[in-house]
Amino acid sequence: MRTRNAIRPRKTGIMLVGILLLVLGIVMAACGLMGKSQADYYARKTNLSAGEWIDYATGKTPAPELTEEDYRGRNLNASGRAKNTVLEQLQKVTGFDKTVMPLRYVLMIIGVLAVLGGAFLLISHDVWPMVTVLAIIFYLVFLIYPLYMLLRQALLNSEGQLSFEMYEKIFSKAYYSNAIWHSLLISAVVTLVSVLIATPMAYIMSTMKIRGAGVLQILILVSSMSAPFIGAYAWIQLCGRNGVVTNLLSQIGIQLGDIYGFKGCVIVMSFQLYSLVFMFISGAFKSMDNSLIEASESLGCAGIRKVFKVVLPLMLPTLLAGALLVFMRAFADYGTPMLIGENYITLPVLVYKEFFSELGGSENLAAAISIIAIIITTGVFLLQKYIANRKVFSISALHPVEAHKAKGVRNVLAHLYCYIMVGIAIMPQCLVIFNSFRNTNGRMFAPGFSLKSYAEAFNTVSNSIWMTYLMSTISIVVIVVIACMIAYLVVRRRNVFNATVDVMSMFPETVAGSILGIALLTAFNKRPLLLAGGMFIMILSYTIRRLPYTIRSSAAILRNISPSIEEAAVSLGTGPAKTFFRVTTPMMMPGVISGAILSWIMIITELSTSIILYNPSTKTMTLEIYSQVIRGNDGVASAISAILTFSTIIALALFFRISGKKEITM
Amino acid sequence: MSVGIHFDHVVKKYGNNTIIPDLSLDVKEGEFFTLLGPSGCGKTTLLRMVAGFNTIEGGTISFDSQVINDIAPAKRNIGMVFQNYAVFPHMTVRQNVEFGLKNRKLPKDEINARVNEILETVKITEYASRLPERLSGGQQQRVALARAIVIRPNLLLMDEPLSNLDAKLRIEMRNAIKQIQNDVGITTIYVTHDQEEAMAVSDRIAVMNYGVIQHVSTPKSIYQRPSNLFVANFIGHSNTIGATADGTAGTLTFGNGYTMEYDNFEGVEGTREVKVSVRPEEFIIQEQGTPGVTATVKSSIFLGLMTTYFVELFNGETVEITEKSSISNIIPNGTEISLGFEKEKINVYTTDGEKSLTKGVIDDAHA
Repeated sequence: MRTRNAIRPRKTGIMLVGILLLVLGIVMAACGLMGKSQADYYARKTNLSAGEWIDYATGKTPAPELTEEDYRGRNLNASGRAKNTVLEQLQKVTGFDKTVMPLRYVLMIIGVLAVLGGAFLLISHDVWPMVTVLAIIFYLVFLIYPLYMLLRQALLNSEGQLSFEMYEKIFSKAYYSNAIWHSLLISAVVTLVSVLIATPMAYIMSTMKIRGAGVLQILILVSSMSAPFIGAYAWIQLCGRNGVVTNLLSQIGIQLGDIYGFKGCVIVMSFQLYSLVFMFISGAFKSMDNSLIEASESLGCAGIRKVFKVVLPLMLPTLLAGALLVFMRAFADYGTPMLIGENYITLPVLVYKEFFSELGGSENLAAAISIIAIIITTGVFLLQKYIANRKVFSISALHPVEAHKAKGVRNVLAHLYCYIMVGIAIMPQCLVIFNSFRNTNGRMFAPGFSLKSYAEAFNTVSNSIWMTYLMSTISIVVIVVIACMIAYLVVRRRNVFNATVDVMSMFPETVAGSILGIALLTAFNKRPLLLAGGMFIMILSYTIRRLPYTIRSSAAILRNISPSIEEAAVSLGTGPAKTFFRVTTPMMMPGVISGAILSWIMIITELSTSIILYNPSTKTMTLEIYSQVIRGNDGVASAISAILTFSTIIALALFFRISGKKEITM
Repeated sequence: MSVGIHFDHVVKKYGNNTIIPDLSLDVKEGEFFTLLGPSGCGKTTLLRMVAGFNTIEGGTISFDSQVINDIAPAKRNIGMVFQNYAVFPHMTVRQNVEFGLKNRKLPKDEINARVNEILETVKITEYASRLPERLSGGQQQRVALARAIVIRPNLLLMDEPLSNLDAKLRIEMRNAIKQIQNDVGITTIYVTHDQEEAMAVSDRIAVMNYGVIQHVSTPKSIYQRPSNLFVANFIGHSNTIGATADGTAGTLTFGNGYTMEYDNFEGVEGTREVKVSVRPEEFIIQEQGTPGVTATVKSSIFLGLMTTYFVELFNGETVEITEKSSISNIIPNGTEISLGFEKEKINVYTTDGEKSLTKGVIDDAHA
């Protein structure tokens, strides 16, 4: 592979000065802005004007006496605790402000100039170092800083001192340590079950002709793309305490075992996640050369022996990669154990409960548990990378594996197996769509069919429907822009800085959604960096979480585009930036857009981050389904789920249309 | 151990698409037999039918007298070398080579002895413990070859085994393959689209086009007396010139009025229009005025051993001529010349190019 050094030795000096100026400028401008925005903030919260605050902060007037009437802000009024917080805050920032305040205009002007100067120096002969710097700043502020705050939180005790008190607590109390154990156990069992279901299925569907294989593939995809907890919800409706199947069976005298707890989590997650393993192995079959299988047969090794001696060893790296992805998903799943786990508390549930609990919860404890979860998932992630890189057999697949028609019992069994497994996986979707069209009477289902649930959904929660589409669409635009640029840096401009960007951009993949949410909340719930509770932080979290996938798919596309095409453009007199936008980007677009569509689906079906970061005005569909389910409003919940499923199907159709592919690789 | 292979009215169809309409052929025991043709001519399809990876829609393929149509690939005792080698990437060279022997449940000592011997034969002993990804293309090809012949198959099949190698290695490997096949003496069917490669390795060649065998014979016979114009053009390069043949008088008359004595006709009664196929080296360049086909030199390329001239004939057609380079000057562009022919080498065909009108065509397929 060809790599090139973006920073040539001769220009390193200018480059460093440029970077320095840029960073310095941003810091100065930010400081300047901070002084002003803080004054504005306090002015909004109280009856003092910004000018009076600035006078106070610069020491011209003494600290004002605040009375109850001074507080108008929603969060502050009539709360003694909040009032104290404001005063504490004030005292903390005063020292800083006293020096910064008078200088703020100067700072801002110099800052902006420095930024412009630095940017000019960087762009003057190549635009990419500038992108590198911006990417690093982006990840430092929105990923590293929140994780640092989370870690700090985890290492503070209730008095605010550095200690391992939280960890002592976690490992001494079974309630906490059990959650870790539960999560590990569920994830391991789910992984095993998924592999056991998916491997035979992928083998059957790759080597035998199955009627309706295309439809099955789409159903598998839809089931894997659905919101995680819809499965749990559907299983409860069927086999829960008051489920349809449970009641039917008990009428004829059969008592169905309890589906709640460990068992339920494993069933629900396995049938949702086996599709990931299936896609991985199917993909491996597509890229495996049939000659290898033929060679084995012509050397006298056929049938099941061939599978174990040739096919499985070749599949093993892919199989493990898929299995570990399932492990991570199961480990991070919040919705399923919350709904069906009941007293079987897993790690994400525990974190959520500790963080938000009104009674006896501790943010520090939640942070401490989060850190443990991050360590575990990072370990698994690294293991996956290690395995994936260790034995990659690149075989040029001249003759892909073809499906042949099987005969007799083998054929019947193969069909049965695929149909039943896909049937169970897609059952939750079918059930919620079916329920969404049932007639309702209040919160109960009534005989007959109607569109009442949809009408009610649009009447009562239309905001969350539009919010979901709005925020996911904005996020995807941001993601595509950032992903293209970072992919370009990583593939075409390999150097230490861009490798750092690469690592940082991939890291969110190892952090469970709810934990990233808590980290962001911890970092950005205070002035001057108050972002919590708005649309911005939601979009930010979606962007950070979905960037790794989009960057990876974009980078893969870029690697397939020969650098000589860009060199041709450059030799014809086009600059680096123009080359990227006029030559490289158009070639990448179909692949990037199809990757983005998948990311979009994952955003609209995501729950674990949103549930931590949302406020009433940014409630999404998944959150709405969740709260309707909790409230027992099954009709509306089903209707919104159905809308979500239809959106997913339409998006998938669009994906296949644009990409021209027949399957999805993760 | 080696077998002869008999194709008897073999048919291959994919759905309604007929790839091979009706093919009959005999490959002799111990022979190095090549299927040669342009891509899409059905040669690989036919090979895979022998191997058992493609179904046979009609007719029979038999090894000696045993019909193998319904025998599973694993039971046919065939060694196969694939285009992309298909060396198992998760096994070392040794494991790859002994794979087939282990499936035959041979005693350990014998396996070792045979593997060592074959590794020696194909000269990869020093790589025995390596994984294939650390081997070059040529070395991987040797592993694939060793793996295929170590099981002492009745028949060795090779599907364009050299097409993934670079030019120099290709020549080295094809000599090695020929050598090894000679030593082992296995009946071999070899598929390629490279006519030079085919001539270099084969005892006999079958030229195929659109699923139909055009000509089966030795490399020399196919090159010198092609059975039709397609074969003449596919093997080497040929120029085609229209002429009138007179079977009774034994003459060929060209468009400019030049009449040449020619007594090598087969099946030409009276006069008829024909196509004369002349290879670039079969022209004789003569000075202007000598009896012959008049022409003008348009351009020339000096290639060291040979010099190629592009020459425009009296009727405006361009032909290619090669001559052994001489120390004297290259004929300048624009020179008027007169062309003669090496009579015993040129071939005469019907105007549709389907049938040779020349004596001495040996074609085992249509015998």
